[in-house]
Amino acid sequence: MNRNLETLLRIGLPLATLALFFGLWSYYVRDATISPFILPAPEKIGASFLVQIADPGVWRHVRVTLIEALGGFFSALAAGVTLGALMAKLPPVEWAFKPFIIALQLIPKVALAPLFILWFGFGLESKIVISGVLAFFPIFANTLVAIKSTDAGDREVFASMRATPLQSFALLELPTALPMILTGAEVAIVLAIIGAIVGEFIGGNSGLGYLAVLRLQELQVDALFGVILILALIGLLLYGAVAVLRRLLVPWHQSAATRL
Amino acid sequence: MSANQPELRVEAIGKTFESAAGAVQAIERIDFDVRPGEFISVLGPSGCGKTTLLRMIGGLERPTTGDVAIGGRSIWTSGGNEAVRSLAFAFQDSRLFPWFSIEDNIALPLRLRGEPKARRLERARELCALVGLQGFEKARPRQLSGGMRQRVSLARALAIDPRLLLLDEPFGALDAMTRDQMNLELQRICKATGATVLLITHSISEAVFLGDRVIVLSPRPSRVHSVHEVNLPRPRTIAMQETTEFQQLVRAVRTDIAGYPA
Repeated sequence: MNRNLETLLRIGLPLATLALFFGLWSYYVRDATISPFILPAPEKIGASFLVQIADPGVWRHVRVTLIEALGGFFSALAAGVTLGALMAKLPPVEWAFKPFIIALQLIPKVALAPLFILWFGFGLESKIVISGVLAFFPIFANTLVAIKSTDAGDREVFASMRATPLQSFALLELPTALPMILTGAEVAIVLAIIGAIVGEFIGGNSGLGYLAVLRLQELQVDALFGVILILALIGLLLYGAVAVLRRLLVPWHQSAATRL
Repeated sequence: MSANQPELRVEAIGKTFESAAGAVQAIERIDFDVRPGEFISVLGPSGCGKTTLLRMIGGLERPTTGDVAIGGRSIWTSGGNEAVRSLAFAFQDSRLFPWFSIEDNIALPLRLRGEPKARRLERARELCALVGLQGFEKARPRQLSGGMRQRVSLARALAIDPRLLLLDEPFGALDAMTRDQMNLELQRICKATGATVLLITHSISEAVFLGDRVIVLSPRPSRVHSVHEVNLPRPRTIAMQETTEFQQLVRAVRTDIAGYPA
């Protein structure tokens, strides 16, 4: 009985908070002297959101942003894991390149976005590059540290079984590092979406970032909120996909058992 | 192979570690021979280099002087590969890998040697039965108790059918009751496989209970201090630990060790 009540409250209370928030918002913009150009009522935003997701033109922009963010994310994943693993296994490679990777990390990379537009054009390519550059570092850093911190006792077991370096990497170090690589990927997927949107803000004529700027210029604020809502849902969806990936790839690990 | 040839020969082996503070001599000189199928317990005060000795015998650490031979094949002076492939380790922590099922953990040494999957899994099933874990083939390591995980660790060591088994305090992390049980199991398993065994332990009664001989090492830099023959009949039972003969042996070994600070 008590547990049923708790379950009820755990589901009911956040919904009540949400309802209260939107209720106050709706009440505030109706009676206050605030212009609908600044803050539209939540029901108007909802209506605009429904209109937009019914519009195939909007879905074209969704597709573009998804391709850019996923293109950037998977490039970052491939480059980050490869470079991280390479540096973890070959210290001279780390000595040669790591100072510069750290230095690059210190530059606010969003500031490089105009440069990438200049080099790679106004199409998908430049956005994939921006997205990938933003997403690279957390994956790279986590891979490097995770592989290096493989337990010495575990290495000893593989040494005692006469494993080759390649076998130790594939059967010990990579599985050991996978939970941390996925943690890096969770951060990276969010950064990849940000990268794609920033690229679309700066140049080009498609994608949800471009659509947001367009709505602003048209002063369609409720539609702008709708675009933001779509972006938030995409973020949630992609982050959720990485979390599902964790359950599939590392079911043995504690982190797979924790709830979102 | 002649009947007189020792299964394991440890010959004038010594180890000096070089460090920034200077050279530290861990092992001065150790010699002993082990007959085929013999069970040797190695005891010594902590820090005397027991684990270093085991690592040198197992081909994991190069000795500064001397050599080790298994079945007449040298490990350190010539080639060594063949000799090293015929031995297996089990460690104090079970060191199972959570991403593998129990059968995959047991079959791991065979996988590293490129054995086909069907053969590996068949061997893993055999070994599960041998160590008393039938029905746990598909389980994950975290689902098992500490004692069961040590059984898996032992089964993994036996996967390659080693002629020499090196045990580094395999039951050191277990509670006393489980440990007694595991010692009985170890005795049975060793008899079933016919492997020659070298066991490192901190427990005097465990060393006497399991060993055909108990080798006592001196503190660092270590040498062989004394060797005790254990002529108790096999299979040994827990009740046997209450006999005068057993107690006298334990006392004799303890007297040897008591001369040294812990």
